[in-house]
Amino acid sequence: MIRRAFTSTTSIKPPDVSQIVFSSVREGVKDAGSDDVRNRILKSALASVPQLGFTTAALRHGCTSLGLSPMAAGAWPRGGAELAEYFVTNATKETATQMRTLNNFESMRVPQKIKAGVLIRLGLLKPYLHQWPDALALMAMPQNAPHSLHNLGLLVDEIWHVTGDRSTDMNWYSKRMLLAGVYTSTELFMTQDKSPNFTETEKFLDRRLNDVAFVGRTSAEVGQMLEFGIKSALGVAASKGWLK
Amino acid sequence: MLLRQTTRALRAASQLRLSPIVRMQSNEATTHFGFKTVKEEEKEQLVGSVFRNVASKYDVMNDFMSAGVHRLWKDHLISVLNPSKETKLLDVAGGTGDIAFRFLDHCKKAYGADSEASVTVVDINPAMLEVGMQRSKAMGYSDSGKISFQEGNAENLSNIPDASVDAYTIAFGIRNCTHVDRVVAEAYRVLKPGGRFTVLEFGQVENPLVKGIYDIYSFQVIPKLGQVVAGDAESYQYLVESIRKFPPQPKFAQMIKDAGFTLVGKGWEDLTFGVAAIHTGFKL
Repeated sequence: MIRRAFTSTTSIKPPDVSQIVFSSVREGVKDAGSDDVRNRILKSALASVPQLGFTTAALRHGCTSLGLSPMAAGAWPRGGAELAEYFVTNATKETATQMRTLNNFESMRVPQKIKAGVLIRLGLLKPYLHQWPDALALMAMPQNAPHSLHNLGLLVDEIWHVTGDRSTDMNWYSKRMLLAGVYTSTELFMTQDKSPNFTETEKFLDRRLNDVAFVGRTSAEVGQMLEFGIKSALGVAASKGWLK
Repeated sequence: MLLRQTTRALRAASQLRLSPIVRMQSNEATTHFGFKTVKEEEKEQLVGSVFRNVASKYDVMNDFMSAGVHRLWKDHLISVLNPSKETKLLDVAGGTGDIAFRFLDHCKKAYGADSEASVTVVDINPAMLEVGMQRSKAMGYSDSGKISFQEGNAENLSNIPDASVDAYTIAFGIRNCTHVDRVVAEAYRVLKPGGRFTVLEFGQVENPLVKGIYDIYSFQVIPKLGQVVAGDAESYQYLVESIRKFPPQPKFAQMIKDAGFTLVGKGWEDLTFGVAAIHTGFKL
């Protein structure tokens, strides 16, 4: 047994001192290598999304344009949804970076910062906008929905974090929930917006931000609002006889 | 009654398992042939005789033993593989063409007449290849230029150039090879960068209840079924034993990773409680 193990390893590779000494480091490098290839495939796949949509075909195109077999697209078993998630994850990072480098960002008031964040994020969607309704449908499928919700959570968290929110009470949840609602509805509006420069989308966003007006409101008020919401939901449920 | 049978079957199995350790002490390189320990160079011949014996009844027996479920596993394999229009597949240990014809049917259905997908079937056993070639004729694929049959050893695919195929499949074959690691290394060599290595193989059942039933079925029913249907109990005794000797899913996944493949997630998907599993590695 031992003899077999020994001969098989030596026959494949001659012992190499650098490999033995730095084996753990080399292992790490190798893994980073295949991750890097996967990122490059996703990046080049994203370039063909305007033509091919968020699809397995785009992933395959990404592989072939790097000189790889299109079979490598199988490394993303959920196909186009995973390509869309790659875009979303990168867009979140990019939003944070761009927010921080805005002129006068520090002197902006909180509502302005939030609005700027949402507009930056929506702007990143522009090249893929006509494919986005399909991607939304894909991301809403049961196998993909948990990932999509998680990514939405990361986006609103990032925007609030960059804005400077350090709340540790119930506000933390309400702020993120309200912004998630504002963001998703505005994004949906944008996919149907035909106005030049998406001016209607910006107006829509202003109205949504006014509706929730989470900024400047005290936590007590938000608490009251939530309580009112819960109470009325319970009231409706009771009147339907769902609660006993 | 059921419990007593299970324990008896398990005891018989464990006793058989002990014997290789005792006999391992000799100087010759040995390997397992089912629960028996044999010299490495003998295994290939022994496996060869098993499949020569069963070749003509192979597909019928698969249906009998698995109640048709092996068809679902193979269909699932092709849908997981998700070949593209130009995929060049190498199906190793695929003599009777079970995977190859499914692959061609899938591509025809998905891409129509302009599908450029093609498959090369390699098998070490001429008797199994003969069955595949006859089926190819019967199905009208033999003159299409999309399928070719070759005799060859999975451990040394000398006729297949480096980096020449998009996908490599081996269904219920790798278990029978003497050096599984060499088979995986050869797969890595012949695949193009970005290519996909896919193995359909029996696995280990984890669920204790299912495992009890599965063991009784394997050791009590399958050899008898082999006797009745194919007139050969011994070959099917070997089959069920060889399944128990094949590394469990996590260990085999690690072997694939060690050969240089990139795994996605844990690297395999269990089918029917882990009775079978699809392992996948990408050359990335």
